[in-house]
This record gives sequence, C-alpha cells and structure tokens, in this order.
Amino acid sequence: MEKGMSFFLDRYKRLGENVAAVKLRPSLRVNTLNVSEDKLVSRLKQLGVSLEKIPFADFGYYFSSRFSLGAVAEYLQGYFYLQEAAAQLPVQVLAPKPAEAVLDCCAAPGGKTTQIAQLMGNSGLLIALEKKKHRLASLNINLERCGICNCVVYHMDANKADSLNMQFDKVLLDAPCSGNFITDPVWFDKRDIAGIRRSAEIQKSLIEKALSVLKPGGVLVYSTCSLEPEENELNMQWMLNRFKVKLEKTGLQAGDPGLTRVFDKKLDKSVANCVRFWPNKTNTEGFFIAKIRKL
Amino acid sequence: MIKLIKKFTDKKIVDLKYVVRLGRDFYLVDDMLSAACRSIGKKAEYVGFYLGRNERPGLFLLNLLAMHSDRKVWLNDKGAWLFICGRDIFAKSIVRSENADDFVLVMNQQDECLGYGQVVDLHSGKVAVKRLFDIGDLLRRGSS
Repeated sequence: MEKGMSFFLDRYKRLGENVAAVKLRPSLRVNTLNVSEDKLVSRLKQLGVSLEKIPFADFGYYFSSRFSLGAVAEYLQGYFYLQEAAAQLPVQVLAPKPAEAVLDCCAAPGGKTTQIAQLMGNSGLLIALEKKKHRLASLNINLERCGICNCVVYHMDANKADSLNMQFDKVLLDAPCSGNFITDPVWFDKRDIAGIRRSAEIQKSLIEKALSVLKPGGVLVYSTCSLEPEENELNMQWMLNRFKVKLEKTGLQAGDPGLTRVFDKKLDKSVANCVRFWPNKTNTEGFFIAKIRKL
Repeated sequence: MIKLIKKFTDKKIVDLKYVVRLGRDFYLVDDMLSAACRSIGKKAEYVGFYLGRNERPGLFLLNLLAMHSDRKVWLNDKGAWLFICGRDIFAKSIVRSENADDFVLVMNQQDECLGYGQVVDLHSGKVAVKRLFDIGDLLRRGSS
C-alpha cells in the first residue's frame, strides 16, 4: 500500500534523509512598504514580543509572544505579514525589481504577492491570479492591509494565463501541492502516491503555461511546500526535457541541493541548483524552490 | 465615498479622474495600471489602492483622511485596543482632541489612524465617541 507514515518516512530514507517531526518557530516578514525594520522591531519589543532575525530571510524574524500577533494594531496597519520562514524565500529568489512586469500564478492568501510588491517598491505591474473565488477575499484584504498599489487581481486559473495577452519579466509559480506533514498533522493519513502523481500532473500543466507567458531571458520561480520528488525534482527534469530553459542557482543560504538521483532515476546535474528544505535540517516546513531561466 | 470624505475635510484629497469602481468597491488607480487593465480587458477583482465601500473606508483612504483632517481624538493604549476590538470610546480613554464636535478620526498614541466615530459627549462619564468604523474590520471581514 503506497500510503501511511511508515511508507513515506521510508521513502524519505531512500532519498537519503531520516526525516523527523520538528516544531515550527512562528515567524513574520516586515513589510518595509509601511514601516522600517527598526521601527517595527522596537514597537513589537515594547509589546513584549521577542524577536530573532531569520539568518536566511531578508526581512524575516522568528518571534515568540504570549498573545496572537494577528490582531495587534501593527498587524492591522500592515507593518508585517505572518509568514513561515521557508515561505519567505521563493520571492527572495525571484528578486522582482521596480518597473518590471511580474505574474503571481496562484496568489491567495497573498503572502508572496505582498512580498513581490514590497520588493518592487510598489511600482511596475504585478498581476495576481487566483482560481478559487472564496480565497479572493483574503488576498484582497492582505493587499489592502499591506498598502499594495501596483497589483491587479483576476479570478482566473493560471492555466489560462495566456488569455492575459501579456509577457512577463518574472513569474512566480508557488504551485498547489500535496503539502507536508509538518504543517498538516493528518498529512500521512490522507496522502498517497496516486494523489501525489495527480498533483504533479497539475503542476506540469502550470509550469508549461507559466513558461508560455514568460519573456525569453525571464525568470520563473517554481516552489512547492511538498517533500515529494514527483512534485519537485522529477517535475524539473520533465521541464528540462521539453523546454528551452536552464536551472540557475537560487543564491539562498539555507537548504540542501535538489536531488539528482531519485530512487532509480538519475537526473540532470543542474537539478542540484534547486533547493530542498528538509524540516529536520532547517527547522522549517518542507519546501522546494527552483529558479528557471527561459532561454 | 465623497460623502464620507466630506465628514472630515473640504479638501479635494482624491482626484475622481483616477477612481474606478469594481462592484460595490472603489479603487484609486494610476494611468499605468489603468492602461494595463484596458489592454488585458478582463474584469479585475482588485486594482491599485483600495478606497473602500460606502461609509467603510479602506486603510489607504483612512490614512489620507488622517493627513488632511484636523478633526481627531487621540486614545490611550487601552482605549485604542478596545476601539479596534469594536468598542465605543469612553471619555477616560481620550488623552487629547482637536475640533471634536461631530465626526472624528480616532488616533492612537503613535499618531496612527484606527478608524472614525461620532462624538456623543466628550465630557460624559459614559460613551464619549460612538465607533462607526475601526481597522479591526479587516479581521472581521477576513473571517466572515
């Protein structure tokens, strides 16, 4: 039976990792569009919140607080976004610049969308797509809260991104995925290999579409919060076999290189340029990030 | 929207030329974003700065009002916390006020606008300002 905790833990072992559960440290990202880092740190410290800089995330801090930070005035004013440490990294790798045209394929609830706008200095053009209608409200509220003004949101499946009739300098595809057991306590009970393969097919279709709207020379960042190679390295190999692209180094100071051998399959050596976050090594959720240059 | 702005200032703080309406919501959109939307030609769900809906201002408009209006009350920390939790304001929470005779913007000790209300009686022992809108609305909207 291709499911259950022991099946998946054994799989991770065969990929070279003895994965164990970790307790995630709560983290936030300072929204420098609305406040300076120093000012926010000082304000939160006054409230009794302990903060520690995340060494690998540009605007990220671990925090510990006796009360929820999701209701304080500083949060409502959009001074920070509650965002897991690894989830802050895909946009850092994308490195959007002011005046660029950027597409965020699967945007809600807006953590990465607001981060893209932050790095763009609220200028240029940011198009955010969200397929699920009920997730639009949270996206819109976070855009408002964080003071974003360079973004247009469409209720649209990223598989239809070509109907925008636009080519982008940069595209973020933080793809829908099977998730991981660190953030979902019942993950092992509900996931099996068949479901993961279905998820990988959806991701391939999204990768193809994302590349079709990317300018030659442009950058696509592909990320998932899955530990499964079918949704990560194997998708990258599939992409390398079909499209004129290359995998570049992410420049991140955390995580392991992408796997270049997955069970019995040997992959292109450039897949090692991707970054894989094993929770027990990075104290983050499981994550995978690839930086893809369209040739 | 204009009715709401006029409660706090007679200045023209929003150029209507740049205001667009999506459903019941109003947005402030610059020329570049407008051109992109026209070129894409699809119905957007959100664009530019969110101004608000009827008497409910977006954060951007609230901050704009705070920059241009002199009708304000400032609250102590406890009063500010209660206000963003949706409570009316008691006189003992008000540390300072300016031109507070009808509609007022409600500020915290850091001079940030938390919402607005209507003065009942600043010297009353009971409710001094009735809450009409506070930024805790962002959370209440998100969870509804």
